[in-house]
Amino acid sequence: MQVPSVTDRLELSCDVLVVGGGTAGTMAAISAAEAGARVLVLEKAHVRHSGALAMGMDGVNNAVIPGSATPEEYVAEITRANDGIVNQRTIYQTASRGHDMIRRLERYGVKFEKDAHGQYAVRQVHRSGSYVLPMPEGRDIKKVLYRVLRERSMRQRVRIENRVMPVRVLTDAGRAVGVAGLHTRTGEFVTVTAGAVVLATGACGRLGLPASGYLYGTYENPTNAGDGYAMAYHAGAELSGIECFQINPLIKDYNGPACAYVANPFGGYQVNNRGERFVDCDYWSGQMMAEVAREIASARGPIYLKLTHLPEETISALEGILHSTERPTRGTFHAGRGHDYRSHDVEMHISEIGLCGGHSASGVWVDEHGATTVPGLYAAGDLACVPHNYMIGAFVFGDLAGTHAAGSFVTPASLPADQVAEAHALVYRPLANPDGLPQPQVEYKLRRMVNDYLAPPKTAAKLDIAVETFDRMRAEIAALGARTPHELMRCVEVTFIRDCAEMAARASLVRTESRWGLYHDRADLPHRNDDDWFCHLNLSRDAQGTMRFRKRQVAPYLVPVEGFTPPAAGVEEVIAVQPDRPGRSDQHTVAHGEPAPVPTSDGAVLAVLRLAEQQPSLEVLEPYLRDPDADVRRTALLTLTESAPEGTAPALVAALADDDPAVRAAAVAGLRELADILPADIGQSLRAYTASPDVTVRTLVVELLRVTGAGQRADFTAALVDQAAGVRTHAVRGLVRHRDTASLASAVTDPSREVRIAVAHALGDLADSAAIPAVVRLAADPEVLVRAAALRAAATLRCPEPLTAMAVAGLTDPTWQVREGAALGLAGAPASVAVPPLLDAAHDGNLDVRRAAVRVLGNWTARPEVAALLRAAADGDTDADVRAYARRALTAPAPGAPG
Amino acid sequence: MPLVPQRLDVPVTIDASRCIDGCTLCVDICPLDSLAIDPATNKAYMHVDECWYCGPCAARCPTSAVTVNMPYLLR
Ligand SMILES: Cc1cc2nc3c(=O)[nH]c(=O)nc-3n(C[C@H](O)[C@H](O)[C@H](O)COP(=O)(O)OP(=O)(O)OC[C@H]3O[C@@H](n4cnc5c(N)ncnc54)[C@H](O)[C@@H]3O)c2cc1C
Ligand code: SF4
Ligand code: SF4
Repeated sequence: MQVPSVTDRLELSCDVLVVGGGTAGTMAAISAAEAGARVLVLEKAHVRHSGALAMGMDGVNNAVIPGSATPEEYVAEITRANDGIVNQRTIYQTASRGHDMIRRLERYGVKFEKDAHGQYAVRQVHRSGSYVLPMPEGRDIKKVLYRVLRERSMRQRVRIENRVMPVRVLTDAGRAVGVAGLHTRTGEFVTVTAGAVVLATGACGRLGLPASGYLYGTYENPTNAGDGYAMAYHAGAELSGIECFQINPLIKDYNGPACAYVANPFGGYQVNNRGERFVDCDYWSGQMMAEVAREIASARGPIYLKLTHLPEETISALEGILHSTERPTRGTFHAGRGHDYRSHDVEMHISEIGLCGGHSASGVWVDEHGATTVPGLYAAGDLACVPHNYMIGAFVFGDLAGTHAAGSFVTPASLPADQVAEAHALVYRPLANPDGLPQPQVEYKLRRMVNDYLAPPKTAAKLDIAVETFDRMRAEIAALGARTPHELMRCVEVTFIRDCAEMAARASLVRTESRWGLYHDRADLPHRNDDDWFCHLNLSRDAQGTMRFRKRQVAPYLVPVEGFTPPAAGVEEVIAVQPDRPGRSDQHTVAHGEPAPVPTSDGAVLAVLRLAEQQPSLEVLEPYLRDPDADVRRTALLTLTESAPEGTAPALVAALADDDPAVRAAAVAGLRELADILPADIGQSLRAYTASPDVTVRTLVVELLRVTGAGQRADFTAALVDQAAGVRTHAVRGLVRHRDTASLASAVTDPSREVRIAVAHALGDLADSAAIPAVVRLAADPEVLVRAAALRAAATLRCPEPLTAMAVAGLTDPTWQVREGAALGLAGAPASVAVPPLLDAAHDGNLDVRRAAVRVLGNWTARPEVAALLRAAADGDTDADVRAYARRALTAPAPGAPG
Repeated sequence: MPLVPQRLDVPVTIDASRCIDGCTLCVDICPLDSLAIDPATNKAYMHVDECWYCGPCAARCPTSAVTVNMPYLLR
């Protein structure tokens, strides 16, 4: 391709520019548009499947739902997890706005798990705090956001440009006035004049090299190369906590989350090679990562996610989630090695290092509205330094930044020509040198050096070499060659990675202490030094191109946290380091073959796919829904689901009667996807299909009747005698809402084990004493898992006789599942009966049984024999969970019932 | 610098007999822009070995023509 001249460019303008259409960016755009601004979204990939949520998400890591947790608890948790170095005002935003955000997303059609009573099913995954809200159907989340962005009212205000990648934020008199970048397909030069700029470009995921050596096999979406970090830095904004790296535990080699947050509520857990749980930390933190790294390196390594002990149904349910959302190729990976969750525990490892405000704390410094230190410039999502913000925090801060930007943008007069020219040179320099160094080799070397000298454990000597190496590599990066727009994109990304590597090395040198466990583990300075370093370390580039560091005081806490007191010291300038050397900007013209025009054909499938981009009405799609070809009907249903125009629900329901199973499956998937935005009267039309010969259709019908709340008691009692066990299981859950103990009790003889287990759980949930005979019957069931569930349900029924005797006997059952259920059930029994056998159970050979016994015994810490046992367990048990629960029971002021 | 032709095992393969002439869906949505239409055949193919094995290309193809394998180094 030819180098375009600086003036030959696409010039765009808007009130609020959003860079990056991922999680935070889409929400920023929606909120800014709702606040009345003209919005432009520039996305380097395609908004539909970009960013961390490209294939959805399987849970909210940090939902603060009233009833499960308070904003204050959450703020304290994150303060502890981040060793005190937080601006609590920012964390408080996520804590106090997360619940509304979840409800807003639900209105848009995103599905979150609900319990049998229709409440958000928040799970306690860590030993402290209940913040995890599963999204077993979370694969559609990005699709939903994309649909909202393209609704008619939005489309008038929001313009989306895919495959456009800004490389620099332009400033005038210190204020952000726009960006410059390139179209990554055509190579066209692009500038935008904007009243405010929101950077939402995600983490720096391409910093460390994954152990596999594959450049794009990163934990983060590798599209996120650290673009926003470099752009904010060059615009003069402050960045903070860059020395607090992101490192995550993940499936070894696959390099994606395992995902313990999903597996844990199903009974999966992490163990070392001896089968012991080893993580002592109560919440996700750098400390926890240090424990993981230490265990892997010890005689007890490697480590595994243990699932093999779970029953078949649990494993298939887990597979249903793990192999369809977030990182759906997990299944492909395991299958490729001949591994299976039934026979192989999953080997885990720690990831390469990255920068990420949303997982650790390395990001652009922002206030509680997402504003950076540069007027008119905002940062949101993983890019912003709001520790542990994850997905829901990205949404909250996208909303805050978009709203604030829409309320305070200032339309600039013009763009600074010198900065436009510099950005142009940055982008097109490699074209001048088509035979220059290839990006894959340069990037590989750069990131290998990151692993060698920057990854913890860090030492000053290694970090010095890192700084020198990254400085030397400027010359190699200046010698990069490219021939196509795609290569230009990759080359400029390498400059972002280098910038991030230099910031990370220098910041790690400046903070002369260890903090945040593995994230900033300085082997040469192994101790935390609160006297000198209880502060943020911020860095920025001054007008001369010098990287400057300053200590920023930790603002007084909103929520006091024991063990952490921010000192009342002032801001201190610390250190200045070498200036940037501006790159050469000579350009040559290079010949290259233009991409061929894409041919068109008018196949009906193609026609429907094209319509998808235009938000078609039902009328337009109608003929395709009736097409004789099943492929066309199926594609039309997918398009209909994607755009969800007026009348979608009845059209999808009608397709449940299609002759072709694949078409019916598409209708089922569509209805499930849209469950949260179905009209209230959907129940009536669904009932016509309760006798469908297709079991997937019948399952869907009961499921929808249940989740939409449209189902009557009679619907579920009828479904309780369906031929298919899956339908009956949904019926059981539906009957909980109607508190129909009698019908549930009638199902204790159901031929399916899964249904009987569901009944046991349901009866436990209802806690109705009329259910006691049914639970007794289930507690004598021939199936182990049914007995276990029934004994566990006894707890809420106050464990009356004969359940007490059955539970006591159950503690010596040959199967650990029954022993665990029995221990949990005894929580409802009087102490005099429960304590003696539980003291024995606390020495059980199985770690889950011991954990259950210890948790239940925590109810009776006033008894000396219990306290003595807990003290011994807290010190001496081989299982970290048992130790931790014993410790917690001993320190808890007023023991509550175990959950 | 000489250009060295090298064989690479790329993770994503496309069954050309199923790929619809004129469709560009997988090419449009790949976050890494690693797929392209071959001008000689009008069929999609992987033009660079840059892949997050994330899967929307396969999930969205109307004719199930796309297979996402693990990149060889991870397999
Ligand atoms: C594999 C994985 C699993 C996770 N699991 C969970 C979970 O279960 N629960 C949870 O709460 N959180 C989870 N997270 C974290 C959560 O997904 C992120 O914190 C959140 O999505 C970050 O949103 P974001 O908008 O900052 O980044 P992204 O959603 O990644 O968006 C960044 C966007 O910017 C675009 N972009 C980048 N550079 C440029 C540029 N120069 N120009 C234009 N566009 C650009 C990218 O293409 C992308 O669309 C997970 C993250 C990952 C990676
Ligand atoms: S989505 Fe499928 S049909 Fe369309 S271009 Fe890709 S491979 Fe071909
Ligand atoms: S798996 Fe993801 S990165 Fe790889 S080609 Fe498909 S869409 Fe692109």
